Amino acid sequence: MLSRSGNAQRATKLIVWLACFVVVLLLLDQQGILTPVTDNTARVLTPVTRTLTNIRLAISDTFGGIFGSSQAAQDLAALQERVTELENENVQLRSAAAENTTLRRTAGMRERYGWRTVIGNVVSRSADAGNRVISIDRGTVDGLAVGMPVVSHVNGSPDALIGLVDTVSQHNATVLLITDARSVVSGQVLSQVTSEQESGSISQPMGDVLGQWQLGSRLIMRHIDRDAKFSVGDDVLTAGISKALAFDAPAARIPPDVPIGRVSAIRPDGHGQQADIEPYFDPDVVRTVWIIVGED
Amino acid sequence: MDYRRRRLSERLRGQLWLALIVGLTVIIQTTLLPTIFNAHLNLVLLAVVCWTLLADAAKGAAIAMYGGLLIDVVGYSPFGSHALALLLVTWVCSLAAERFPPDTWPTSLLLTIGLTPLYHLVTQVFRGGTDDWLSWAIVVLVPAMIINAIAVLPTFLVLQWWNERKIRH
Repeated sequence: MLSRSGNAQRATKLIVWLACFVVVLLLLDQQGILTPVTDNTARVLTPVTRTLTNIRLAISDTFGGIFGSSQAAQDLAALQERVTELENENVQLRSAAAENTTLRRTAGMRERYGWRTVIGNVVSRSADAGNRVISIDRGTVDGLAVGMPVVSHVNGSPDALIGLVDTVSQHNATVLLITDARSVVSGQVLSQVTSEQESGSISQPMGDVLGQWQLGSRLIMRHIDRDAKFSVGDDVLTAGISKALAFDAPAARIPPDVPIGRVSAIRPDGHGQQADIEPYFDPDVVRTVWIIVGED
Repeated sequence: MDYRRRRLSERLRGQLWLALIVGLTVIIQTTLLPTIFNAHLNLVLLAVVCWTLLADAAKGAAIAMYGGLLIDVVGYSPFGSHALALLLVTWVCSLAAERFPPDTWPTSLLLTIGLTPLYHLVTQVFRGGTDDWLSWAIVVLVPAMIINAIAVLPTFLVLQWWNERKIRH
């Protein structure tokens, strides 16, 4: 018993020393002094973590399709691919109608949306359940900067926003997923155009899209005008307000009209309205991402 | 002098092996382990709790340091935040080991259930906290506590077997 007590005292002393050392590391990291060390370590680990992440996702794909025959799975994949194309066309067509802009619809993301993108792979996800972050194998050398929107798609969905670049180093970056509670993006509802809207008496419903994963949901859109008319099933796109106002903030890198999800519920919220948004797909399951580094 | 040098070299080699194993554990945790009911299994936290109880707090602290720092590198969180949370877990475990039988699974189970919230609270504070702690507790903490509580029993038994084998040799 005495020996255990002595051990505990020694352990406490050791832990206090180590904690002091860790606090020094935290302070140095805050000053950016340790950034080259952590970045290079992460870079060395990237090939291993990327491979293992792909293995995990491949296993979940296999188990996801294990109950279907291979021919049925192939047919399904082909149909989902077609649905993706149609969804992209559909969202873009309606967006163009609402904004009265020229429809840019040809193959390829750049031509379709006018985005200049960099393709990247998901390397790993956050190590604990508290946050929704993924890391990718692209960094400042590839033209990435904090605040850039990241899009992806899974079978049957349009190209949709999955998050924003949160931190960036030379060769790697982290993406804060839109479902994380720290994520806020200005959004607009692409409602079916009514005669009132066409005459300009009602504005296109706009609001802040907030991540809600840690609070038991996916996404909500708040601060929507009380008189705004929209309905369940309407598409929600980014509004690009910061960009339009030319703010010098990371959020100003988000262009308008990037698909986010669909309205799944609407309810009153103080003097305005609030909507639940269902993302087109779970951002956790993507393997490949496109970072929008600019627009044509 | 020769004996001292040999002892130092052995200790360094031991630490290197430990760092390697903990490193592998972190990589497995962040890449291969699936999400079950929105919860991630925290292998490093389980290793810290079990090893502090089975061996000693110094070993637990070493796992906390190596594991915590590597989690921060791989997850791009503030460098040292996870290490600090895990060191706190080690300290509470070392205090608990004085008062409760440390080499029995109920102690490891109770400590895992009790220390998972502490670990998540510290890391969440470094992330800037949340506006709605109650919802956060329901969505993040409770699934994490359940999944860690389920996994601590096999983890404890495997590490106990390994520890006993090591002592015998």
